[in-house]
Amino acid sequence: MKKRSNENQLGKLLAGLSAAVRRRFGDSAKVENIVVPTLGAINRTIIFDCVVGSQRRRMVSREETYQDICNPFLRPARQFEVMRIVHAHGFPVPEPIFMYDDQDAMGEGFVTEYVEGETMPKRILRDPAYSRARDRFAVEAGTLLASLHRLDTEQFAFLESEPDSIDPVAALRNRLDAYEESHPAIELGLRWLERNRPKRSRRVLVHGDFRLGNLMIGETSIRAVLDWECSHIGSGLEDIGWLCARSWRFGNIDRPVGGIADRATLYAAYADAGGERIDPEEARYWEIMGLVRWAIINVMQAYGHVHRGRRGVTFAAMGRNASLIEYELLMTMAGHYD
Amino acid sequence: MNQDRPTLDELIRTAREFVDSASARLPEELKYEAQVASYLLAIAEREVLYGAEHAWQDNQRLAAFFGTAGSTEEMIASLCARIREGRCDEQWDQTMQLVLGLVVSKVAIVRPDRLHPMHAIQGR
Repeated sequence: MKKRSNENQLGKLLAGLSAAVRRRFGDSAKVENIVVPTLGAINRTIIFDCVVGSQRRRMVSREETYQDICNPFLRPARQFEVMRIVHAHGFPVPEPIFMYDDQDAMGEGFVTEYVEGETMPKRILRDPAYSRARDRFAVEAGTLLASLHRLDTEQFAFLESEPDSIDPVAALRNRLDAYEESHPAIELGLRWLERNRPKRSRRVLVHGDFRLGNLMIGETSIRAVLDWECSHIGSGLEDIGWLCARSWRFGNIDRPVGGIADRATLYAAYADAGGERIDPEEARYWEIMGLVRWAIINVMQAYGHVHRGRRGVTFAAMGRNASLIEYELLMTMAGHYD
Repeated sequence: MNQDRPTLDELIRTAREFVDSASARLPEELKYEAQVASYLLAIAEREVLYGAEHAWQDNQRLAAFFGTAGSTEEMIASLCARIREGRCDEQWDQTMQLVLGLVVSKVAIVRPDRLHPMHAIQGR
């Protein structure tokens, strides 16, 4: 029964997508070579060729399915707008093509260009094909982040009302409360973050989830930066700290930058590309913030599994994995882990 | 309750062993989730075997910290409020030590191989 209802759901989705494409590109426009990846279960994703006459362009449709009171992610319309502006400045992001509207009946979402490459951290870290990309990773990441953080934030004024833009520590605390589970370790992290706030720095556009998994990697370079649903205004070191947080080293704990490189290379590239000179103590604050944040995200996923019908073995595992992140958080705060 | 063999932990281990052996024959897109299912079963098995011991230790630690007896759930909720209100600021190291102990308990059940040697539990 479940298999048939999944097939019906998919059929409806593809019909909706085809209609949306025809509305924008003409009645003869067709949708072909459809791929529905199963990972990344918060949104419904469809990769497809959009064919108009002899022109064929590969695109990605993303529909948001997370409808909760405490959704920490940007609404699709805002994500689309951020991507549109960033793309207009020549930053490597998949070109935003169109947003769904009420008439499409596809929920909230949008279609972007498809950028070829690899996102899976395991492959990027181990496959010899990506060795050149790995060699250049820290320099490229530093350069990209510096260019992102140089964009005039006036254009992103609509992000100033997001909780993470107003106060990232308060935003974390409020989200944790929504999940109704006591976490003394996370409380210690939040208290520490509250009491050790860095002096106020220049406010920039923060990507908010810049790490392996959200980067489309080619054989020699980072081709595109994906997933702008955590973007907000704040300290640029938040992006630097998240990239270097222990959780995103995929087992290579002695290589802080995405499990690939050292901090000095990243910091030097960031400064060379016009970013600020990074104070390692200040960067450490944001790495600890990263661990607190990732722990809370895991609590959130387990809450969704148990209480909100967003069921899945991975979400259940994340609930228990929160303790592993708490361990890393406390060991880092105590100076045992770097 | 009078139950026959296998014991609860053995039931869970049996299911886990099946999932592990069957996963090799699953289509690619299900293999990952089968591994996660096996992981959940391994956690359940450890909790059946060692959960009560850790629960008792946690309660003892909390009671020593608060200087009174109580349920673990209540003491943890109270601890969270204290930390948030800044009432543990003056005993920060002591609070860190308590909470680290509680987290080590959790990790010992979830994924003991993630414990630093300083926290490794002998005889498991």
